[in-house]
Amino acid sequence: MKRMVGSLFRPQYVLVWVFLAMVVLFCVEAPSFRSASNLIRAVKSSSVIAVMVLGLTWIVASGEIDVSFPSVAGLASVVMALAIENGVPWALAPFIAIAAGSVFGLLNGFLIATFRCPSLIATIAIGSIAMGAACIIAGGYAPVRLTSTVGVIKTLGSGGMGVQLAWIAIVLGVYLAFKYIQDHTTTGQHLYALGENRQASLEAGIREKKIIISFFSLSAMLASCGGVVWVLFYAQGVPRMKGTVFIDGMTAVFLGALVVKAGKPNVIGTFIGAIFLAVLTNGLTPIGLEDYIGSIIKGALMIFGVVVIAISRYRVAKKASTAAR
Amino acid sequence: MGRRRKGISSESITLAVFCSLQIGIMGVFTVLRPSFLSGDNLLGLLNLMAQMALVGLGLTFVAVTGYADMSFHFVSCLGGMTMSYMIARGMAPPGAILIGCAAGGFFGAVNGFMVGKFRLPDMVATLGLGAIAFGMAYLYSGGTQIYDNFADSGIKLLYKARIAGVPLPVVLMVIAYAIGFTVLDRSALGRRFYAIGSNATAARFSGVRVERYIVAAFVICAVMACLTNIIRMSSLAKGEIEAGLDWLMPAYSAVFVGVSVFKKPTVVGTFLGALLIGTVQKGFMALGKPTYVMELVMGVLLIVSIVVSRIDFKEIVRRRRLRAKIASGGGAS
Amino acid sequence: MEDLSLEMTGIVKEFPGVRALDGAEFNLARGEVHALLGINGAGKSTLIKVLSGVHQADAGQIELNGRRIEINSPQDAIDSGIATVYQDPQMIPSFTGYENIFLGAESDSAGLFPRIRRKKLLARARALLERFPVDIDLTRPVGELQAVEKESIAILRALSRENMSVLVLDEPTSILTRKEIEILFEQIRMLKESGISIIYITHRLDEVFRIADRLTVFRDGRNVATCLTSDKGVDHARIAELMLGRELTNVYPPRGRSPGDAVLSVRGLALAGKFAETSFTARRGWILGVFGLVGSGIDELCKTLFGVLRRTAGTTEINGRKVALGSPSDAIAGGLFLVPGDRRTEGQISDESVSFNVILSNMARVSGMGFLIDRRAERTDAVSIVEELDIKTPDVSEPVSLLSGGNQQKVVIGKGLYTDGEVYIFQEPTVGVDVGAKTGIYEMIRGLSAEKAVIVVGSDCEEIYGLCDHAMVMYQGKVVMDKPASEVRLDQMLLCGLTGKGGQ
Repeated sequence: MKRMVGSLFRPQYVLVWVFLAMVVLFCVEAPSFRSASNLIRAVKSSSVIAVMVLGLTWIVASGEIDVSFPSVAGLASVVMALAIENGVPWALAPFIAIAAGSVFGLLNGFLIATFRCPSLIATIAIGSIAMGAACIIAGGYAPVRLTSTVGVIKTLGSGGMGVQLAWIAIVLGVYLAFKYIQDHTTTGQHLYALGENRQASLEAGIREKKIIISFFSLSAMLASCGGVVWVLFYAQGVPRMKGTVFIDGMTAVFLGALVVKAGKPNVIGTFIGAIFLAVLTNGLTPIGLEDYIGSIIKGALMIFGVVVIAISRYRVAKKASTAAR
Repeated sequence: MGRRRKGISSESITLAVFCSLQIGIMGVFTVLRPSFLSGDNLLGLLNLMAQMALVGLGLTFVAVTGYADMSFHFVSCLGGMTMSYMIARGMAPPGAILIGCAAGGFFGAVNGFMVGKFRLPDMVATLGLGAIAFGMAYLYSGGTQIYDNFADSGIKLLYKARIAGVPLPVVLMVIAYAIGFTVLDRSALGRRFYAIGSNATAARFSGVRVERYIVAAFVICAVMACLTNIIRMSSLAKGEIEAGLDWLMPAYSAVFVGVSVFKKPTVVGTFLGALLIGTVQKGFMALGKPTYVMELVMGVLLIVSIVVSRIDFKEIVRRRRLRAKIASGGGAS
Repeated sequence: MEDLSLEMTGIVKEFPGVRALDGAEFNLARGEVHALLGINGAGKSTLIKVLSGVHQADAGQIELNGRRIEINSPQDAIDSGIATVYQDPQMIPSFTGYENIFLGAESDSAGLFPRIRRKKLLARARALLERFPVDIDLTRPVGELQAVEKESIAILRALSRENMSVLVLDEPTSILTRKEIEILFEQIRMLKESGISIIYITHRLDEVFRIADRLTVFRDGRNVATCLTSDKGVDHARIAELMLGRELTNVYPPRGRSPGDAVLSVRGLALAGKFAETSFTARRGWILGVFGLVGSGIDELCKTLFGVLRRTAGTTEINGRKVALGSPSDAIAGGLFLVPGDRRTEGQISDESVSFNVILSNMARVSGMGFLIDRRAERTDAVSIVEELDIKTPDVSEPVSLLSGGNQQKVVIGKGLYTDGEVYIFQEPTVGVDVGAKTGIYEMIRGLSAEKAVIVVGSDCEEIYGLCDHAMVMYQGKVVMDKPASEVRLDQMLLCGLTGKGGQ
């Protein structure tokens, strides 16, 4: 019995406890936290981030990084907003936006797989190009506001809790579908293999180039979806996403990695991470703390996360070496 | 002992390609705007690239040791706001600048410890620290701009002053690069940085105090980033919290254009990278294009330089010669 | 020989400037273990690479089970039934045993997202275990397994395809302890019984006689001898002769006459969990040899002395002065230098030039105030080290990666000499160095000991015994022999290292 209780406090579950404590704290200290509108805000922002970094999760799992996702999401949101403003039917506009964003993912993939460019540099460059393109299309840095919110957009943008929950269910469904890909297909298996031991994977015949190009395209595609959802929720396209978007996205992925798979980024973890972040961000104001405290907390959590992972790896290595004696 | 390797090294080829690119771009801009080559304009170019060159120089040290730093642009915001706060409180500019850079140095040291001593993964750990630093930057004014005392204190001189007709930032750049080149390319310290980047274990076995050098690299990167942002704020005449965020892209671009030319991060390479990017920026400014177009072009330039550097010219030439030889009946020996 | 599972004839393979295989022949009988021997550059690795499809032969033919086959890629080799397990096989540590066995071949279905059925994979793996009964838990993450278990997984992986008939093991025991080698040999015998023919590549002659049925020696790209291990006249000396192509002369320089003054004094040095209190003295003119096999603690001893690992007890004195050894830079400052056992990861900076490497540990010699480097002085010093050690390199500005193993080792030694130290520790001094270059290094070590205190540490008993004037043997972290070399025989020393007994 004691063991079971003890295992509940293992480092990876600390996050869950922190989350619960946070929720309790916010609910108790600030009644406005519990208000419907605040919760709706939280759900909205978490679903946007969750979609945006779903692809990033696997990129990080494979040992690479993608810093272009905020810019690609921004580009997609601008394309979507402009398309709708110019009369494109709202059912068609998303596809154009997603296609536009995915191109950048392909470029990323080629640069990294074929030209052996370090992923940090390639995605910095591509992100810059995407943002520049978004600004050019939008005619500046200012957001492209939708002048008339119609149909789905109105519902989602100003809909009540019921709509939001339905939407979250859709997002969760998408996540579960991707979880299947991650855990029960060879593609997912090979992705993790690449991240853990590239040399062994190549020797085993795993097609590194194909996986890298596929997953970077996927990441950009999902980031674009995030941009599209952004437009649906906030009725505007943003060529230049705020700096916090990047931090939030990376935090969601890393914290999620900690929770579910002991350090390996995975989709369910990212989903939980996104919810965690949204609750954190939307709970600060009601209890009277400034937004920037959130940045500090996120940073501290990220560092905490890697320290925990490093300690657990050290312990495992020690266990293996003493077993050999 | 044998003679030195004859023939053209691949570095010379990439350098030649770079120079042609640089001259070509300048040529294009001159055609479009003949005033581009004027002394005044060229001085303005140096002034523009000075900031990028400075932050790139700091990042070069981290790159040489083989790590990535995702925090310096965030830390530079903190450094810049610290300086602004000090100015607003009435401190003289030299003191304010020093404190701003010291704040950066502290965070750089923390980075260095996390990565060097505790072996935490560089990208995540520095990103986390950067987030913390960025959050702390808000403490001074809740995120609003700080103007107080900027006009009176003389901080604007940092950007506006001229020494023998040369803007102070350019002078700083020259001094910093002179020191940086001496250290990294010509001194024993520099050898140790490069040794760590190439094989940290062997460096340790050779008596290099690896952890200290990693800390030093991250401190240099953070301090240079703060200095750069402080200069920027001096030019804006206010403390603007998000001003520092823009440095991530240019710094990496400058360093990596340099890597494309010299196969590894170098002080000279970063300078050339800053020069190329600065030229493009100045040109676009002269043509009246907005900043976001320049960002797009910067990204394209970075990609072009990387792609070009991966093309192994010597291999292509060798294969052509071999094919010609076979075609003319020489046969493979 | 009748039932041959593999026959390679007339294999020729050329690389720019060198003829690696010169009409090589090799055959493998069904169900036999056939050892393949040869010095570095003799052609045995090239032969194996041709067989496993990494290289394509320029001429010659390969017959498998009587049928002629073409091997143009690693996949061809696997399809034909030839499996290869390389040194220190790479795996995915967090994946289980069965996931590693079938890595890359988890599913037969094509398409974008083929499904993995883990239960099926485990069942397939268990079925494999029935054909090759190895005692191993397939459901544990491979990262938690010991070295020999990982080796077993690698072998199972190699045999997991259908119709495997030939298994190539490339230096399988280099990372195994003595006990684990026994386990591996058991597995090899079991594989033999199930009909697999095994090519066993190794440097270790004693293993050859214990596990192999036949052996083949390669030299200069050709097969110079194939015989039964039980044949008369076939012993270590004869094999060495065949490998070198000349009568084996005494490769070791003559021993020292008498011990000089003490330079290094170590008292009670210990690293908890790795080796217990150890005390010894190193003297000029009197080489101290420390022999121990994997797991004896000799590697940790070297690294603790040099400051790479932090000691838990003990003191070190050099020339009467106490030395704090918290890091290699402390050690070098105190006058102690270690030429490490793993050259590529610990010894050399491969991408940098010879001169860069040589001066790295003592740059103060070419820089005033230890700051600016005088390049001309650097070149002069590097050239003089290169000449002194007879390092073969086109120029001191060439990267170390271009040099051969023996010359690379000399560069690392040169780095040590350049520190002008008092005490030199050579760990595995000639690993990866071919026989021709070994003698030069032995002579250099003996010459060095005239003025400095020299310690040679390693797991090659013959080498340590041949070089040293005073013999120490370590076994499981304890010193079990500590005598002048003149009072010990080689076989006694070896036995002591193997069993821990007999050192008194």
